[in-house]
Amino acid sequence: MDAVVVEDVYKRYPKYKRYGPGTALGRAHWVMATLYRLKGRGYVEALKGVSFKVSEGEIFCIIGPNGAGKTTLMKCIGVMLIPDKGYIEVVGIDVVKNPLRAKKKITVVGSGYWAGFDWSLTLVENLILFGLMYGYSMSEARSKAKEILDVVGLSEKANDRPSKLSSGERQRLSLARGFIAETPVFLIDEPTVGLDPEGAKQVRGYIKSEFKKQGYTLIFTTHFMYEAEYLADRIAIMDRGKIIEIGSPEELKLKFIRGKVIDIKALNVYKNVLEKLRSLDVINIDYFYRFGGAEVNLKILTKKPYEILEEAIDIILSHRGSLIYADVREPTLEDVYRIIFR
Amino acid sequence: MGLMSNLRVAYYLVRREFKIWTYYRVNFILDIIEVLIDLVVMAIIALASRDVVAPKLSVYGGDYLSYVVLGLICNRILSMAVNAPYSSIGRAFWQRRIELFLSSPLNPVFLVSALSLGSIVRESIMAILYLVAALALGLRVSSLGLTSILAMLLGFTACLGLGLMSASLFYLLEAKAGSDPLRWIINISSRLFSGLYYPLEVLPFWCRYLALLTPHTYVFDAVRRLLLNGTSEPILVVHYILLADPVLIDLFCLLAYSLISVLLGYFMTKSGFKIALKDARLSWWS
Repeated sequence: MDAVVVEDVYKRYPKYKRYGPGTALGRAHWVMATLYRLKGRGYVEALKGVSFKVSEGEIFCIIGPNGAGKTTLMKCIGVMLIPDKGYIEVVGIDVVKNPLRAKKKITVVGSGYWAGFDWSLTLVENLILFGLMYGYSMSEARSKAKEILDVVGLSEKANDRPSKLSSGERQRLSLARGFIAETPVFLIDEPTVGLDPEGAKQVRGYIKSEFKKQGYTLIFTTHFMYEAEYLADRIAIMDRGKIIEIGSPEELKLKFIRGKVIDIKALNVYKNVLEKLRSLDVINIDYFYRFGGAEVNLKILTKKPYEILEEAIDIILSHRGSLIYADVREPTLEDVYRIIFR
Repeated sequence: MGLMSNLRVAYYLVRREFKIWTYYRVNFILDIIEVLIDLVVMAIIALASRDVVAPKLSVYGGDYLSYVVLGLICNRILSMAVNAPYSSIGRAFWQRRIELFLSSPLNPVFLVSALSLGSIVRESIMAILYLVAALALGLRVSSLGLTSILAMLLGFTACLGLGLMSASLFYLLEAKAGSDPLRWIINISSRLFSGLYYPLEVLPFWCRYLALLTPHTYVFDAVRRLLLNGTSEPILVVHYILLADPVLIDLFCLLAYSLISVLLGYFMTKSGFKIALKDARLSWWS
């Protein structure tokens, strides 16, 4: 059964100038803001006919460059934005017609939501408040909060305030808020953004094991291709408000990459060498220089990896370059992403 | 969400407000001292102006200290009902809490009211403290009757409705910094024209028309007449028009005011959130 259905969703919103607190406009801020609204400053076309379905228990990832419309789409599904056109259903509930019923089925975890936890309440009290918001009795909310803190590994800090947590712990607290509601659908915007490698690993591991175990449906966005490939059953690639591709990581790799990737690290490789490499039988070459141009990292995508590897090494060495490292490997989702958005 | 679930959330939010209030203990004590200082200032003014003002207060028993202190006590609660909803939305917005709260299945209008409740309860406690201190300083009131409580409750409801209307302007008019126009008008006119500090008789007669705009006027009039053994002489313009017992007229006006302002407040707040959800303006980081 489909947990989330998104059909032909369009969303655009007006651009207008905003004034922060303490600006020169001061107390009459609203006068100018209203004038700006009336004047109109054009629209941002955020979603242009997005459609897809997510099955129950599926982990679904949305990737794409900044401004592709990922967060807007997540907010539309999470009833934090109303789409202009189209239909969104969560567990059989139309989110536009029945927003409050739909919210009972969805947990939204935004990338900066941890900042919204109440500084005056302890972790357990914060979670109790959210438990009450989802209709639990006080005792249910209390026992649920303690149980969830244990699950996310924060039970020792239950009586601390959120400000005392590290960034990884804060993200886990955000997830805990989601788990207390026990909704069947989760929407997580960039689950590991701002976390150190260890914190990110913890959160990924947690999502991978717990979501599958509990049978939750998860839609998440990320800029880390490794994360998308590691966690997602299917991935949608968005660009400029549209979904341009959708499929499992393997399907996407097969569709875009019929070949292998050669990784080369070398010294003294200049533009003329890159031109020669491009003239070989390759699909794509990605490169970036390090140490002020002294070292180059090359990713060569080709259908004939071993022949091209030999030829590439010859070209580099014959142009007074020095080889540090070379290898042939299977393509990753990151390679797909680079091909699509090169 | 059922009524009980909503009440539980409201209770928890009130508890949270108390926690914040008492978190900085020195501030908490200073707050209370400030209230008492206010009262002492009022008592001194009342003492100094007793002979001048008393003849103008015959409708309300003639004692200026009782007159002004009762007004100030009511005003604390009424003003908080007007101001708290806007402040609650503002705090939730600027402290990045609004999206987190609204991602829950709570009705947004209820959420705003529940977030305001903590400040209102806190202010009510301060008002009681004020009353106790004023009694010690010589405030003379007859026993608190049901009618005066009813007047206060209706006034509170009317002001909460106005508060919701003003809170809706946070999104409807994008009034996110400083003050919104409605709250500004209500706060100014309640201080100037409702008879908070001085009897309406000292103002030009046309000002009494402006006095009709705020629910504060009717509450002050009814509560003072009831608690200070006032007469039934007409003061407000509606008293002259309807020619019935002034307290009854006040209650009737407050009832009408409450119904209209709560309904308008409800729909305006709902529309405000709807527009915010349409234009992606729910949070600063939308």
